[in-house]
Amino acid sequence: MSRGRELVVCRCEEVTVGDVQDAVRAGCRTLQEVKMATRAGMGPCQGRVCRTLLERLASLEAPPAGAAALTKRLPVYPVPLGQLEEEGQP
Amino acid sequence: MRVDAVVIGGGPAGLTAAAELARRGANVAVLDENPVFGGKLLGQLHESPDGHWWKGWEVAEGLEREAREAGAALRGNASVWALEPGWRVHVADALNRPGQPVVYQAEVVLVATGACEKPVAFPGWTLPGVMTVGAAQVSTNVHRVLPGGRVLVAGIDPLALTVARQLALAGARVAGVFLPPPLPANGAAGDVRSTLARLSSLARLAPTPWLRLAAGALNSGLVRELAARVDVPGGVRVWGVPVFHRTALIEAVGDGRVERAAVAPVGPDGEPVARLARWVEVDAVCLSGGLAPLAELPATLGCALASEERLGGEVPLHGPELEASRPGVYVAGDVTGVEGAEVAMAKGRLAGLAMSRRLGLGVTDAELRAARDGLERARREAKIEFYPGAREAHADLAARWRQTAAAAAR
Amino acid sequence: MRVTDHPLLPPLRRREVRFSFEGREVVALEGESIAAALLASGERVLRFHERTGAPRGLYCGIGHCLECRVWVEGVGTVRACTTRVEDGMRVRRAGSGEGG
Repeated sequence: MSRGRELVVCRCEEVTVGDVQDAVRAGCRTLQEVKMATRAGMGPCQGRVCRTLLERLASLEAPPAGAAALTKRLPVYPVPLGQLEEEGQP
Repeated sequence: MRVDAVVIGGGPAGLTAAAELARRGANVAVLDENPVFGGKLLGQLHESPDGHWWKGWEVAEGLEREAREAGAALRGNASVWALEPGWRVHVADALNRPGQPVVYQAEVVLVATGACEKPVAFPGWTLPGVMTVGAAQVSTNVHRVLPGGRVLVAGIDPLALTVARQLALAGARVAGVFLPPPLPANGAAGDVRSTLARLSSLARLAPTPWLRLAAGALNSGLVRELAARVDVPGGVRVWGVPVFHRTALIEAVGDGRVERAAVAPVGPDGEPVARLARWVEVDAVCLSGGLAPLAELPATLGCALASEERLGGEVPLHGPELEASRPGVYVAGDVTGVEGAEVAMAKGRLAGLAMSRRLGLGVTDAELRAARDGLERARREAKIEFYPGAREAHADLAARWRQTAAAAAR
Repeated sequence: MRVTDHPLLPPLRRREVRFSFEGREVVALEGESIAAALLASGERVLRFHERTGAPRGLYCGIGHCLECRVWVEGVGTVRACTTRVEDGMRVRRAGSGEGG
């Protein structure tokens, strides 16, 4: 029963525990840096599912990473191009 | 499109607030990403201690009718993807239909976006057939489709037990309710002692004889320790469903979909005993990792947030009338702390009144006081305490709000 | 499996709706989500992961995780869990064939 590094934590981008651990050990100090290095939290759900897993994992590393939380960016949901506001719309 | 107020989220809090606003003459738009209104009410089914069954969808119908009759505009299939100063609410039509407004301009905005489920990770959790208990509840009670014929539930908390019961009522064979996988990534959800402590909060919701006896006793730390060491073969029956409070889900496997799950007893140290693991044949696994407020929109707006484990996660800091830290932005419902539908409605009422007053629609102090009292009462009478300590958490948040306001005034 | 007899829910009396998934006809009931209709017809795999090809299905059920995204002809990418079936809808897995 594998319970280790192969476990997927970010479902959208299939980032594993191992990927996150490697990123922290390679020098990532914040979750934002882990996100940039691994793509965890950058998929369609924008970290909605994986953020708590990432936070816990990062905090368990020695030294722990993650003081600054994942920043939330707009749009919070994907928007089809045709539904963006046009110039001059009231 | 210019309106007086936009309500983001058409669940119990949002619909109640919209009705209040519309009744006082405000031009209100309610936006929800679902095709129907009512939010999480739609799938909820609870038995009160007196044996009466509370049906969420009936409550939802009533709230929707009140909001419409009051004159609120309800728009479904509307996905709010941004909230900007102004206040400008950006919307995408979930069905990509042309001709719908893509931005609303409002004087006041209510964020009533509810909560989302926290993940429970383990080998095999991405297989089709593994889903959250919320997904199982909606599938079963709203869409009338069982997640599977033989279901395993992982997570022992009020929501998991409620959904397990609903699955059994709907005709699914529930193999059992187990502890969630005790992996570091799953945090406190995988901790045996804290799970049993939370079980005591079921005391107010139609307890079985075992729970009636045990609920009060569970609060005693000593008994909790003993309970952590006692296993009951065949599981403790809660509402007819076997609960294996000393056995944890370990893994799910299958060819393209979940076909069976491995469970193993958990030792006194919280670690599973691998050599005693066994397989359970299931075609669905339903996970309960707890609910967290979905506060992304206030976060992107720069509203102050407070991390509160007793309320499920990050909550927008708010004042006594549910005003967030940006003027004109209000918050209500589970996004302010997961406390259930009745409290959500009381919050919606209070927020609706506060927003109406801000719009200059003649709300008296007495009305606001009554709404605040109503919220306190709803909290006291809550049927399920999702997280122990919600009242204390809100008292702490109120103190933090006053500190922040005092600091700003200096 | 549909929940047709339930001690507390109203009797299931809904009109049939016919749509297609990956080219094959599926009979659903009015008001069902695409995900529920497919589940009732025995189909749990809604998507294959874009990079690994791993099969994926319904996860959160409330529009947050976006695992259930499918392609609807004439509409685009939608969440199968929050989109209701309609007569004549042509649904494909995201990324298979046209669009996605």
